[in-house]
Amino acid sequence: MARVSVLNACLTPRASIPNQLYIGSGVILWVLIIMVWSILSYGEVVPSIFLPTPGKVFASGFHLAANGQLWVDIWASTEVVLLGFFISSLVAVPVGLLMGSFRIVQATIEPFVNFMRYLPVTSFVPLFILWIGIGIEQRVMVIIFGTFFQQMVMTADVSRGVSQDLLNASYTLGASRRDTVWYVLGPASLPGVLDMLRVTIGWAWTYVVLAELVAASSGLGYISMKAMRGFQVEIIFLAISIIGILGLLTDQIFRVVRLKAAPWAP
Amino acid sequence: MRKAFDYSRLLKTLVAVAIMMVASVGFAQAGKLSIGHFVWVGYGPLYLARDLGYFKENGLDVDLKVLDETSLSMAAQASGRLSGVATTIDDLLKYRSKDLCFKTIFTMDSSNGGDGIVVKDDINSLADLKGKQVAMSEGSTSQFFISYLMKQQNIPLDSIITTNMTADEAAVAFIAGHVPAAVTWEPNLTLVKTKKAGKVLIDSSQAPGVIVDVLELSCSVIQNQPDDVKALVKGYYKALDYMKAHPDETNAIMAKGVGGYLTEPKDFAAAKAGVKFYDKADNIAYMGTIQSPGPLAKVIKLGNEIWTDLGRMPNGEVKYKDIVDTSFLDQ
Repeated sequence: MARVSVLNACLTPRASIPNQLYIGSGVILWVLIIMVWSILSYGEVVPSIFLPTPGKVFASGFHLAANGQLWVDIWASTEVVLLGFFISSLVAVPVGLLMGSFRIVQATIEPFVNFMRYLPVTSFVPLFILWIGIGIEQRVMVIIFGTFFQQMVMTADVSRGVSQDLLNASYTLGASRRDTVWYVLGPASLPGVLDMLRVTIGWAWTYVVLAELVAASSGLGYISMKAMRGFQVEIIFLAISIIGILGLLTDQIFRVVRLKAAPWAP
Repeated sequence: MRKAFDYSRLLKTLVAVAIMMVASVGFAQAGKLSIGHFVWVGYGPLYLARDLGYFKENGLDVDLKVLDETSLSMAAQASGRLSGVATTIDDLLKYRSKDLCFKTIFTMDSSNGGDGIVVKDDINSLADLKGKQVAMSEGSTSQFFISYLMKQQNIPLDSIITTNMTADEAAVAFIAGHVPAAVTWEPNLTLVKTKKAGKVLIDSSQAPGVIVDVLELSCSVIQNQPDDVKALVKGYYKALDYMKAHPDETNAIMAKGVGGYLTEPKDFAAAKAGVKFYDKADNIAYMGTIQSPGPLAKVIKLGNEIWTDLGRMPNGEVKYKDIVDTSFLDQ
């Protein structure tokens, strides 16, 4: 009986499933991936210049961690990504909310934002060197440019998605326009904004290689670029895996924050 | 009634696209060679030979592909999508391993003023660069070039602060005044002079035969398609001879072929002044034979030394005989 209901839950859209099954299925996929990887690499099905063995990737990780370089690289990238992401979010979230709520703001800046958001960050790298220089500011700028305009559009959509009924109800209850923005639109957008941040910090990380193309002397993007010249594939794997793990951690943090900050939201 | 989403049709389309993509990949086949390279004036004669039909007349079809960086070309070659790559010999040393076998078939050109070091006006020698930031692409020919010059003057390689970026970005950072020195190439050297942003401290014409472009092919290609390799070398020599006799006509063909920043024939002609092309006689003299290697062996030895010092030879030394095949030079 119980087995049937679990199966049912699995086949029903949005139905919740037991916790062990939830975690278990996630773990199984990882085990499968590492198994296939091990068979392909240890079994020499694929030459080592295409796919290093898991052991070799770990060994290179330990080697870099032992001499301290790995932590320097991780910190260098994290610093750039977080700085860029915070600065970008700090501006994009309020402006995006306004853009989604007030037609005049939307009319003014949306055409500009939609123009900017399609421009390839790569082409701006030489311009950033000219305008900003080659310090950490330039790297942070690449992250900002890659995330800012996307964040604005997504935040505006979140704010537009707040139900009109909520606004009408607050007016009926005698709220002023200012109160409506402050106590209804803002809090109602919070879960959506947190989701948006969770998605866009992932995008910020994907720009790390591009950010570290210029004048970086450490960083995960930098070491993977450097490893490409000479095919040190295990280093590329290492850098990618660490970025992935950092991403996974960030994601969990955002999940918890969202649960605590907006427990009422689905 | 609304039509349900047709999954089977989507699936069929996806399968068809996948098959087309696999089929379009040029795997090794007789009578066909595919060569990857970045945009560089020295690779112009390959386009000349292709467009004048000098490869075709010996039954060879050459597919030339522009890839931004040697690392990308090498990745394509490692997976069998390219038969060979044209790039500098120093660059190649870093990729040769027991898993990736390729050999230099002939030398194409050497940089003769096309690469150089630009500095602010108060810097007058390499020794003056001590403790200063120098922008260059790490692990590239630019780094090899400056390291070679520093070694010649017994200056330790770690006396300068290497600031990593591409050669073009290095020129931009230098002109914008963010770094006191940069290693870059043409047309950036001329740009620095015309913008009066600094001066060229030293260029490759003062170190001839150090930055050398070669063409390498996978060992499997050399073994399985020797006739195609012969046709390649023959066509290349013929194109060089024709180029010498008809500069204007050939500049137009090569500029169109190489493309990129060299699309204009006059830009191509200007860039050509910065290289020396190696014809048959030059090649035989420069490469020598496996038994008595020519000057190329010295560059390979230096390259090994420099990259080992900079920690970029994880697979150990690459010897002349590992990376050169001189048997096709005499066509």
